[in-house]
Amino acid sequence: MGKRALRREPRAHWALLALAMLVLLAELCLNGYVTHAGAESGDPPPADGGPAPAAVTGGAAVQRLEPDGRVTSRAVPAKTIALTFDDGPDPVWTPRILAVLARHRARATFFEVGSRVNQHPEIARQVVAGGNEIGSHTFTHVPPGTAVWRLRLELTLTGNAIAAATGRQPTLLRLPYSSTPEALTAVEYAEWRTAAPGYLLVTTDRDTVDWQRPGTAAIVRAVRPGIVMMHDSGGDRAQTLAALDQVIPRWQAQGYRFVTVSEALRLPAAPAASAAQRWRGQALRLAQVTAALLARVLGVAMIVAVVLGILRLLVQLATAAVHVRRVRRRHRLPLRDLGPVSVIVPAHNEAANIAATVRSLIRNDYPAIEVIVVDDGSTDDTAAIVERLGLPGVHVVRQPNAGKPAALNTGIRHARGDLLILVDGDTVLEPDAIGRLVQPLADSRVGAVSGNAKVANRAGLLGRWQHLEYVLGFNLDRRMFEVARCMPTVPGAIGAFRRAAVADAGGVPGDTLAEDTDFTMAVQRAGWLVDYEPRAVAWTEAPATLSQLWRQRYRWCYGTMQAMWKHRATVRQRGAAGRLGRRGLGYLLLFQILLPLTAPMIDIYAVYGFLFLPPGRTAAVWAGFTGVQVATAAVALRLDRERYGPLWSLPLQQIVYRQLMYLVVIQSTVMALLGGRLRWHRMVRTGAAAVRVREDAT
Amino acid sequence: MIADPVFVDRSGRRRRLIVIAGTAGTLVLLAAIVALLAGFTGAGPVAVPGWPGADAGRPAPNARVTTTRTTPPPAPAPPVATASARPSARVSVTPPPSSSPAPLPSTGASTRVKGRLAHSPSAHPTRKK
Repeated sequence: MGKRALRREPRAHWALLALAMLVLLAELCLNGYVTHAGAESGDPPPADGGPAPAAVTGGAAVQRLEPDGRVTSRAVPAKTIALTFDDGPDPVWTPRILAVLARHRARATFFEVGSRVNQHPEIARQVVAGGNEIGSHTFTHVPPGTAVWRLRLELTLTGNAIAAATGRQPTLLRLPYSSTPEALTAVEYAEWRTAAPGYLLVTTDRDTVDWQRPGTAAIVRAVRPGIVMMHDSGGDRAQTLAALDQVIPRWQAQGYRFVTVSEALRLPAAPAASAAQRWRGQALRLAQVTAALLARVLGVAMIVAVVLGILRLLVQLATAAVHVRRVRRRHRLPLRDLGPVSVIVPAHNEAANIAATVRSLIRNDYPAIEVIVVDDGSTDDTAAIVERLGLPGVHVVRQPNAGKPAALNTGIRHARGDLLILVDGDTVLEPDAIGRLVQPLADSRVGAVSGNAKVANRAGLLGRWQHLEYVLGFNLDRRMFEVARCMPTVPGAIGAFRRAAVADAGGVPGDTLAEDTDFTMAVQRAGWLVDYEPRAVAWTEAPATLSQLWRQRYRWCYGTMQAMWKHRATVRQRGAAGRLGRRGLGYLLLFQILLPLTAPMIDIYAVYGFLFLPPGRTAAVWAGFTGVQVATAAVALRLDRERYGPLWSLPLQQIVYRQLMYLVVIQSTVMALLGGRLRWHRMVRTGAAAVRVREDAT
Repeated sequence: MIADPVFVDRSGRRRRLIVIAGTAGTLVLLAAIVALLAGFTGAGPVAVPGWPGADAGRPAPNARVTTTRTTPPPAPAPPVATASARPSARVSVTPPPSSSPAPLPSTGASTRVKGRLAHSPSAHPTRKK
């Protein structure tokens, strides 16, 4: 085995992830721009720079910028009414207005908002099919005073959208918030001149102000010959609709024609758009539709994540309460001597910590302790250090490097006690830890007990974060797992096992990187209960740098995935195994794999919320999140009788720590899918030794 | 019998599959970027189409040229309301008068002028939302 050369860890998935997040952010920004820009209510900004030049304000309603810079204008001829409808298309009112127009054989001009054309292209097509004309009303109904580049972009987008929907390129433009020519401001004139010189600027002769819903009669009165401004969107247009039904036949009876602006001025109809422009418009529409969908899906995902988080918290609080009562009963009993205990310490290059570990073990107050240090081919002084201590009851077993599972199995083989305690070589136990840890084993149904590992080095942000994480993981998660009988992991740092349970599990398995998780699952599948004893405290050294932390978590996460996959059959099994499968694996799958995998998107959504959503709401959501988190951690700290001091560092986890945690899950998932051999696999040199020991052990 | 670690796929088939899927995903994402950018490109109408019977030509205040036109101004434009079906024949531009607005031939325009005069030049008429 292992002949296949080890490949370099792949990196391409990071580029893919970055690309995906970039696209997601861009799409969300597009959606934010479409749905939130120009949605401000009330009056446009007052900075209008005074009235436009006299040539403009004194001109007729339809104006053209000649190539030589002059403004020429034309009005519609006599006996002509050019109805114009702004702000559509609207899925409700535009078709009704079209129906009224068709009934009276009238045509009109619709100045449509590009983003709405993308939302309802079929209505834009319906408009054109009725012989009506579509002009541009910008992409998001921008107010005057918009930057020239943005207005130019808005018109490009709208042109593309209309081209894709109708196959025609708009040549008429009505600036949002504009009205009659004399109301044109210098700002609007300048915008038209610089951003849209090729468009005919269509103002109006008659502003019906129908958007204020002045009553049908008032709208009817306002419709006079010339260019008439009305609206087919932006709310209830029933008055507009009713007025049209009255006013069109009335003027038609006097010989008036209802035509489009182009017809009135005898201009050719809007030219056909080029195929390229139609394709660009389709791409734009696709992007906008996708963006809206993504924003909605992510919004729902956020809610689901929040609800799941709250449910988990409630379950954890309830189970913690059950567990606290259970443990209180246990602690009222005097500590019992349950027979000889063998402590097995696998050690690979642990020269720095091993002496302290062994001393802390031998000083424990349990009556009969045997310590077996298994030196797993250390290249440093580890074994000799232990031997030099010369402590009674401490044995050293040397083996060529074969990995931690093999070392544990070697130790188990040498152990004489029926109760086995597995301790990491860098862990220091409290004096009463062993006695506390074995007490639950007095119950013959219990096969293993998890101790309470605590971070010894809590200085710095990284130390505090890990400390909080350990306290949460042990004092909420493990209590819940015990009560639900689905403990996924008895940590390698401190755990007690009954020899019979070890035998049932077939020894410590060596085919995953998280042998403690794999082993614990195997013990439970065999029908044993696994408890958690919070007072059996072990101090462990947490990684002090980000890169060390990354390596540790990568191994844990990948190993946990391996163990889950290995024990996947439990999901369909009955009894103890089924409980582990459905509850334990289900929990891990949801909270340690699936949610972290969606976390990058949630982060991107947070950026989107920061940029586009109302700041009050974003702040409230963030505060709610943080509040729940801090409250949860506070409960865990209280259960563990720890200080509340490090709580302040919790909100800061949102940057760096959180990302590291979910990137580890992504890395692990990719590696699992690729099916490659990890560095650790080779180091562990799986199989051979472990299998041999397993045969001995059984 | 020695088992491979969980997830290890010695055939490399899964790896190839994932690489293909990843490549396909990358291409889709790149296409999405291209589509996103493409929607933002393009140009509006370069110049408006024919403008038959322009009835009011006025120089913009900062226009370089106001009078240098090669074609001499023809006779006053006929009212648009009576315009024939051959608009190109009537293309004409009235030279800008020095002080008052040019008389506008169409009905709509004349009512508009009245409307305009009703307002004081500085006060802006109602503006829609």
